[in-house]
Amino acid sequence: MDAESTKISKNIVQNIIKSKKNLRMYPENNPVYIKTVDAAYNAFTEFLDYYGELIFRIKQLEIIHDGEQVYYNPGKDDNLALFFFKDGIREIVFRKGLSKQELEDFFRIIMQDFDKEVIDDDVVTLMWERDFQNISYIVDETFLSDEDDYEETAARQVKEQAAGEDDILKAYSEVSDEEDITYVPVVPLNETDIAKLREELDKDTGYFIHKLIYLLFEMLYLCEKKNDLVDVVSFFRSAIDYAIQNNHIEMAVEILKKVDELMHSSASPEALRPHLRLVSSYINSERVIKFLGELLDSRAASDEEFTSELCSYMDKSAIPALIKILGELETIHARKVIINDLAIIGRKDVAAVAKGLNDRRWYVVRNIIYVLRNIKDKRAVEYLTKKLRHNDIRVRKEVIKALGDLGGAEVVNNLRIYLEDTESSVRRITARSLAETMSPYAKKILIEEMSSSAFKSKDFNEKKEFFESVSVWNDSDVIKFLIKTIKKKPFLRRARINENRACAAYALGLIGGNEAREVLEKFANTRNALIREYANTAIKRIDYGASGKRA
Amino acid sequence: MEHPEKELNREAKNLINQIAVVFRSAQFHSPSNVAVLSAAEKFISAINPFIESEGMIEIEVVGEFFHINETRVRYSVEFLLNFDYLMKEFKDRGLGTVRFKGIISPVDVQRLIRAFIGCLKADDRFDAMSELMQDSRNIDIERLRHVTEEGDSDIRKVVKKTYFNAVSFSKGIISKIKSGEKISMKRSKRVVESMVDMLLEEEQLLMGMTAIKDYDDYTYHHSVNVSILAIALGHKLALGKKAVTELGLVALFHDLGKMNVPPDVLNKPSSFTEQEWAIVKKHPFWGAKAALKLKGLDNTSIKAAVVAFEHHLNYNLKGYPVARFTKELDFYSRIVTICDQYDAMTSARVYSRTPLRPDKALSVMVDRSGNMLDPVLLKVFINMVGVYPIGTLVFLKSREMGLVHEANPLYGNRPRVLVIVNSQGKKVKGYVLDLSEKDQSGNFVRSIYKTLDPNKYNINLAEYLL
Repeated sequence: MDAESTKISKNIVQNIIKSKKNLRMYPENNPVYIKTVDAAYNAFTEFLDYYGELIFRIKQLEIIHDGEQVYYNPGKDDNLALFFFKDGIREIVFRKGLSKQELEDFFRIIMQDFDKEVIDDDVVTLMWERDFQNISYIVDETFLSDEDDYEETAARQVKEQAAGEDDILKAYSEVSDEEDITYVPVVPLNETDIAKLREELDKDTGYFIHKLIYLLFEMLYLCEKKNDLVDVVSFFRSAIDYAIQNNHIEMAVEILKKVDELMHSSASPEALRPHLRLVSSYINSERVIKFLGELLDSRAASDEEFTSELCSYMDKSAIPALIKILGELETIHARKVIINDLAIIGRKDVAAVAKGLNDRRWYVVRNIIYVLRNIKDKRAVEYLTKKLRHNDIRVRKEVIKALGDLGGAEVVNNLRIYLEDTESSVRRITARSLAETMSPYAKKILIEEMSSSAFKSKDFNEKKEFFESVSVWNDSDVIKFLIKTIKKKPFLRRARINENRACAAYALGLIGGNEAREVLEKFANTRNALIREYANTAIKRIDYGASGKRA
Repeated sequence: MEHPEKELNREAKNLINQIAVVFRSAQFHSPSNVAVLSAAEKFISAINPFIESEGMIEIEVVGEFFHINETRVRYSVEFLLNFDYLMKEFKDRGLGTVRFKGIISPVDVQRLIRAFIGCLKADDRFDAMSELMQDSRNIDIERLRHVTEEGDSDIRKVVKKTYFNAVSFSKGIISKIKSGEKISMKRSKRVVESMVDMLLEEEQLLMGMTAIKDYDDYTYHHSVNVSILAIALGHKLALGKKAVTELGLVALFHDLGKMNVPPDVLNKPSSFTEQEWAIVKKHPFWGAKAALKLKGLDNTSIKAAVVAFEHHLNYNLKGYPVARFTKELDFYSRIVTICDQYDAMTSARVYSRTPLRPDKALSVMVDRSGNMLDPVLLKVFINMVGVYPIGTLVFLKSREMGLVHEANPLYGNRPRVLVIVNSQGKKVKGYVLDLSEKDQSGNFVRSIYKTLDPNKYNINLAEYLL
């Protein structure tokens, strides 16, 4: 070897250091990543094509090639030599034929941060598992032994116990007394055996979690001491964590199902019941719900059926954690699942759900209002009313909707002030919500509002929505009001009043019936195009229904 | 797209399989039979593109593996039968390498087939095959290489080192767990990986270490022995390197629960009382508990716990502890159970105080097949250790006495034997005999007459293996 080879090998070491850093920093498709691998591969190929192999001897703080130091770093941080040395690697050899894929895989191994507790493998294990064809290494395994002189001691002990000549000759002389040979058939495997083996080898990871579950139930029944029970309960909890973290929700469901079954079985020992309860209640914990949230956010949870089933094992104590996670979830999909779950569990404790209304995040409050609306429990009205003055319009709107759904006559006074809101969308939602209450008082308020002189100045769509809202009552008061409106002869502000008349035609169409039709007929050929259009559409609706087919 | 290396390995496996099919069909039919011709044609169309791109294809036996152009071909369960068949046939002929030097024709393959089959009657099959291949321009062969004596001694040292490192480590694990210290999974894996490497290179030597039973630290040696046997069995089952390591690791931990059994019970020289038995029977439960506490849950710790719990449960789910929920035993548990029973039965310090001769132990295990032990796995195990496993004390019809030193993959009942007493009844330093050796009339020169229990006569393999 020569100075040139030392120069190139120094360059290769620098390429290794650079690759170790860049592959960690950039994703595979990033140009820096690709460029780094290409440059390193070219450096290796240049050397290997000429010299055939590249041997790096690893010392604690330096790397030697062909007797020359090609790397030295006295510090402990980012020390390439120490990185290999501490795991026992003493030599690395790269051979001609090294492919770019192999080199990239090698870099992907050394880019790992092995000092992190989470990695169970060291650099040797990962290189060993990768089984490189053109990269080999020499490892010092001495550090694997716990006692320095164990081999020597054990070998000496056993040799000391070895038979003397007399024993051996005794065996030789007594051979005729020994039993005859025991015949053991050596039968080769057949195709059926191979098929059976293949089936075993193809089992996936889900199978092992399944095995774990059965193991834990076996262990639960074998516990004799309290500390054993405590341990097994904690294993169950870890198993639930593990199942959810690894997207095997069905396994967590299986545990809970079995626990439930055992709790309700008269055959289960009484002493086990409190411990079974500890397992089943774990599903309500903040930790499990956090894992579930992460899984839902990752969109890995493939089976919604299992997710709902898992949630069905939660009880009201899960509510605070579910509310908390609601504010942390990143995807709409995940939030939807948790909201639906809260709507089911929340029925058991409306007050607990209502606590979520105090969350500082407007979107959480809005989600909770949605949940309360879906719980359909009148007790929620008290909590919701307090949020009518929330400073976020999106929250206020949701409260108005919810109160309309839940409230009845008692919320009408709370809602009516929002008919005066500065925001058109709020006023429209309020009109709909008042209609939802179906209270006569709400009807009266709406008719009064629509009869006011200010009403005619509102936007056409808003007016249309008010008329649609009032049509839900479908009674003589409303019909009378609508007929009066449509028949009104405008003198001043004609266009605005004609808008009201068109909206009344629309509402009459929604109500239907002979009386409405007869009135509408009179406007089918009116000169005003807007009224004429709405009257004819309304007649069609009465004759053919909303679908356009004859009723 | 498939990883290029994986694709290459798949094609390499296919090539080994194809050549095995050619030789197999030629053993039943004449070389001109349509079945042989069709197999040969398939082989030619598989190998020629390879030769074209590589310039030459060299199929070589190294240890227990085939290498193609110096690249090891991985085992795979789908080709298990043909791989094993071809390995036996190569070794039987002393054939180490077949080199395809240029694009081959049906005539080249016919010549190879005729030489492969035609050499069977000869004393030196490789020489005969070589002679029959003399005129072949595109294919040549080389004899199987054996490790030199000097190299052998070095390898022996490495094997010993690997074995004792593992035992020492296993001892360290128990004391660490007992003192509440955390154990390093990184180190555990490294220990097992070194055993896997050693087994792939020197299976017989490492298996030989498991035959030495008289250590004071029985429990630790037992764990390592079971781990080695399980690794070997896993390898025979064509498990990948990673899976074999995992199997070796869980096998190493299978008796973790024994640390909770009081030493005076564990080391009791006489039989257990009912009460003591009840304690011993709890060790699978304790083992599973310890395994689950080793680290957070992952595939390895789950498997370790399952195996620790199930290794005394029978194939039919009887045994101990009582199984209330388990519907079938885990695959790894069934492997470890076989290895555990074999090592325990042939050792002197377990519940059964009288150790059995290896062949006797196998026979007992055969009786348990289908009830206590998985019949398919037991079949593989017996194929692996042979009728006379390493460490069996044998008395030959030639009146020589010795220890089985190395199994013969071709003849299960004709191992290599290290003679310790010669035919004159004199103790000797030890020379090795190959029981598959034949005389000029084609009869075997030596055969086993009886097997003896080495423990009964205080004969220790360590004297010869260490």
